[in-house]
Amino acid sequence: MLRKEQNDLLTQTGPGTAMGDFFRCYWIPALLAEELRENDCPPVRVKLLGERMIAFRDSEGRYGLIDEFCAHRGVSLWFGRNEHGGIRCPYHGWKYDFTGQCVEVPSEPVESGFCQKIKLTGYPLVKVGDVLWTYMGPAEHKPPLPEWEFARVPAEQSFTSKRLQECNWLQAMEGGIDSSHVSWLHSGNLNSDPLFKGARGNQYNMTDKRPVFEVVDSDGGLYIGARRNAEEGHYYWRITPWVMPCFTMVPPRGDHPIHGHFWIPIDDENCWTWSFDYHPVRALTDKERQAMKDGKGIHVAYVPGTYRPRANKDNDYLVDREAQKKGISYSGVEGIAMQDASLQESMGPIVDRTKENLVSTDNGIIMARHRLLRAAKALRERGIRPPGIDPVHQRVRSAAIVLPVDQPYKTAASDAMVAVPGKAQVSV
Amino acid sequence: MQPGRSESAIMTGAEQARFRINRPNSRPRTTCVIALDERSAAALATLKDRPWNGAQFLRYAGARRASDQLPSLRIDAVLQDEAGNKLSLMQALTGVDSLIMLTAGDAAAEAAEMIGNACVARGIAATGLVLAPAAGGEALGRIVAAMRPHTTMLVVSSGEDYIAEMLSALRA
Repeated sequence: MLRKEQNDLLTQTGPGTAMGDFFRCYWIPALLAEELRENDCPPVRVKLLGERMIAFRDSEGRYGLIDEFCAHRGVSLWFGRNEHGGIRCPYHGWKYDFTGQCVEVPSEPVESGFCQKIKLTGYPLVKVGDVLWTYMGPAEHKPPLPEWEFARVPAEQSFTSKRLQECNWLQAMEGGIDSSHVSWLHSGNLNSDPLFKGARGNQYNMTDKRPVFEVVDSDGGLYIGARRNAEEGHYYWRITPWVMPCFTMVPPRGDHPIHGHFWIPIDDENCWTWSFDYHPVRALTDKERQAMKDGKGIHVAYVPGTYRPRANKDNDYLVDREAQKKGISYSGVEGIAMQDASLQESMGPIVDRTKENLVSTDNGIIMARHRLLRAAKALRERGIRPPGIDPVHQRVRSAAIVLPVDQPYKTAASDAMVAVPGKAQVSV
Repeated sequence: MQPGRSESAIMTGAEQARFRINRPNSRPRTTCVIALDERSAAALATLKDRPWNGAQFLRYAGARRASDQLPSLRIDAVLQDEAGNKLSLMQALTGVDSLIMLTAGDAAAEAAEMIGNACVARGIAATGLVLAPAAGGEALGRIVAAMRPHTTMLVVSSGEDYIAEMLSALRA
């Protein structure tokens, strides 16, 4: 359980809040690059950390992420004309460049310099991989660009998607470090999902359904190791890294691509769940890429024209009680992503953690909250920049490995947990 | 039910949240925390005056042997409470729902084995919380290896402040 004030601190990310300041220390995923496909394409509404913005790509290919509303009369620039190096409000023609600087106020004489006094809040928007990343913190603390491996491998080796999740970011993210739910909620998928099936490691999962967990501090966050019995004198370890504030990777299975997530607050009651799959040393096959587009693995199928999952709260997640009864899916909801999201959304927009009853296997969650609280407090009170900003913390990998019983995974699998370009993942 | 809206959409909204039952959903559980060495006992001692939900704080004092003739046959562990009173492990585990072993050194292997075995026999979940030594590396590896067989959850923390955080989260 958490006390109410702790829960409030961790779940509120708007401007001026402790956790809001914390998120504003990092480059965070803002849009998929496909959302601003070409120069002068239509602008896109973006809400992140409780701030409404408009994203656009100008005539020279520069990305802008600026306050959604025109400084003149408050019109949404979603209706704006993206043309000739800026976005123009259609109401009275005020025009802004990609930094939010007003560059034209047609009603005022150019010589007056009036437009130079008008500037909308603007944040940098930079393409790394398939993702447009933004940094919403003070310019003087802007960290180096993201180094996450999925965004740095060649395009043909990576696939990224995002989906709307209609609950607070923290309860969604906690699902990513709560490895003990996998044996239950996703038990129907290991041998059927094209992006999971066939791995030798799956057999260990199926034969030992009571994993034992080890949680270890790391410089950037945590490692959560789940061990199961393997051959005589050996354990099968599945190691999940969590890097602050909201990055996790799922341990790999066989030669399937590795996958992971970010959970980025839209506001306090909604977040974007970002999901990526990549292979460190080979291109994704057409079959794999198609499966991801079709919503297999950790991805979802969408309501056409949106990033809202096709199975969502408005259609009761297309729950199939017959499939639940037959054991095709454990909860009756199809697909790993929506199995998670449906349950996390069912908790309500912001779960009341004063009422929960955690048990010892929830230590990954307890430790993550503890690290977040401690780091947010250190930032607020002493200005200490939090873990996860340093590119070294971002060069992590999940791993699935068989080790002798007396070896601690943090040291025995230390090489496996570091992303090295051109080196294959360690997977069983 | 409002026509046109799914049950999930209605029930997950703020409007329906006020109808959640607001009575306690659990009874107090008994958590026993045993410090296995000096450093962890010192860390635990700083917590004893905080408000807990019945958690008992003990430290491992040694093993009780079957007899002088059979020193390797350990039949029970001797524990000590905050006031210095001695009690046996068997007494301490009576009525316990959850047990946490706290350690900062590999001298704890014998204690971990005895306590872990007793927990298995009684169906009590045993958690190990290792306070990472400053030396880290090999020393930490030895501690973790010693604790691993006797716990169902093992946590390695670099800060002593995690003890209170974990106990509070577990309603200890």
